[in-house]
Amino acid sequence: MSITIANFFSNFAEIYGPIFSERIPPLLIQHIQLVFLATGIAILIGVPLGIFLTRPALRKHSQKVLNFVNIGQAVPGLALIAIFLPILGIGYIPAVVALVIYGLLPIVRNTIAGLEAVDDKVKEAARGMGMYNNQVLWQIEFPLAFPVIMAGIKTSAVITVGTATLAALIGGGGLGRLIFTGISLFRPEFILAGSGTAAVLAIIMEKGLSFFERVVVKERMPLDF
Amino acid sequence: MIRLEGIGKEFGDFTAVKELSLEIPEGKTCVMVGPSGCGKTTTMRMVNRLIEPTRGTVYIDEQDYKKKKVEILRRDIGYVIQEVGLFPHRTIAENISTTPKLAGWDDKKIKKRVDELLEIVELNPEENRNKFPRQLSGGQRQRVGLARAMAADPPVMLMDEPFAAVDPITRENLQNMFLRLQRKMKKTIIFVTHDINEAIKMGDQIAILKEGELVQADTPEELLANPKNQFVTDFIGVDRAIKILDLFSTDEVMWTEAPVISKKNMQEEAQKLIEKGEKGIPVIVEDEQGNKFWFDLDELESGQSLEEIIRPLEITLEPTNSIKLAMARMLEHNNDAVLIIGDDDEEPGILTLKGIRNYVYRICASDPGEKVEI
Repeated sequence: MSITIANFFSNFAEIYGPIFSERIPPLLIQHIQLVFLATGIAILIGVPLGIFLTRPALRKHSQKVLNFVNIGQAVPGLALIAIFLPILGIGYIPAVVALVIYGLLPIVRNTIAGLEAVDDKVKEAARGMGMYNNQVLWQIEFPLAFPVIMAGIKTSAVITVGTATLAALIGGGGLGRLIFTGISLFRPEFILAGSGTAAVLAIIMEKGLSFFERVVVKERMPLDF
Repeated sequence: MIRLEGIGKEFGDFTAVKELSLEIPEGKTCVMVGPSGCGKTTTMRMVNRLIEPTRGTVYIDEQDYKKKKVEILRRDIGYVIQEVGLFPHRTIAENISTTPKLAGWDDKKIKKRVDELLEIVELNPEENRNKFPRQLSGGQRQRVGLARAMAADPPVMLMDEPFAAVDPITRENLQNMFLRLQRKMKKTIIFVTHDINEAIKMGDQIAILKEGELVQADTPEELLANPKNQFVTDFIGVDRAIKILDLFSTDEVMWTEAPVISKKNMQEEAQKLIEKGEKGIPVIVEDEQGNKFWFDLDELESGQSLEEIIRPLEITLEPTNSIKLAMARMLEHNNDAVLIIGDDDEEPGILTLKGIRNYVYRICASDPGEKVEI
């Protein structure tokens, strides 16, 4: 029995061709939806939460909230999903909720870190010149913290792409379905195709967000000269 | 005009500023100076309410500042802070236009004002308006900070160690530039520094603070001549006498009524002066060509011939020059007197080394608290 390289490739095409043409596309779309929805909600909760926690009135609570959000990520993804099973049942919505909680930490933490890192002198100058607090926030603090906040969003998105494969366990769909099917049927090609696609998706997400950031930031501030 | 009335601040148990009252007249610069932790910055920041005073209030142009909305109040108070605090993500032009934008000026007017301000602080508008703060040197950033504070032409300005973060030469340049500007702008300024030399140079009025209390507020001249207590004396420093030289002008120390006698029969004329009971005064001797010489009447008593005693008066200065300059010229030429000649309507005078010595000594030898007429 001899496996030539040509042989290998013809086998490869034979095995993976149908998987990529038939099984992957609907699951990939589901996966992307899951990730976009979960990350989107995490941004909508995490960034305002981070902002609130850096305002003078709430600053003293920021550590407590951070600890709480930390728990969200310290618990293994699988366990987090399992915890929500009895509360929210199975399906798409519980999967999204679990992913949001899981992806919240990097966004909140980086929003706080980014805003706290803005030079006090700069904020003082802004206030001293008569800016209202919301003008200081949106015209000064937020633009300066933006790269750090964006880094948190990227981290969160990449983590969520990986964790979203677990959604299949509670009927949330996505690439995880292919992977778990592969595990239960002893079909390594399913596992490889599913996890490989998820990995590529993670890389594309990261690159895409970096590109978005560069476009937004370049307009405002040449970071490299 | 700014009037602080019994203003004070406590942070918990710590009293940063006790009860401070101070009036800064329209168009004058008041320099607050003192060791670190004396409350000078706190006091200044209470004027634009970045720190809310625990008690007391501030009147700006006879109006209680608490009656204004705090953001609106701040737009009428130019603010220059330590290390400038320029917005790193905004261009120089955008930084400068901050307050005009808040005040709702139209774009064309703002653009014009930005260029005008860059010219005022001696930066080229073409080259600099589209740069970002990090592309400028420390000194240039300070200039932009100054321009930004002046943008909406506020009547009042607060300056918190504005020239502290640059090298001595740049600082000197910035100080001189600012003095030139202030002579034209005539803003009412509170200026905070820990450097007494800067205070003497920049201030029309100097307020010395210690542990949250105002120790003395006076003109620089008055402060050097009459330090209220040992603390002020120590704070002014061991070279107080030299600082005095810099601060007083020649016309404050010179003799205006020195007798002038002709060289031909000076011996007799000098004798007449002594008979009249004159003592210890400089006498000017003039020859037929108009050359001037001088001697001190006390020197004659030793019985010497006047011919040996008189020495030429070759240096001429103006009444506005500092005594320090007069000293320098005397040392350079190994002379001990200079002639002071001003405009036609001003009386000429003679400034002698002995006169300076007595003057400075009279000021310095008095005990702290003792009043010296200046």
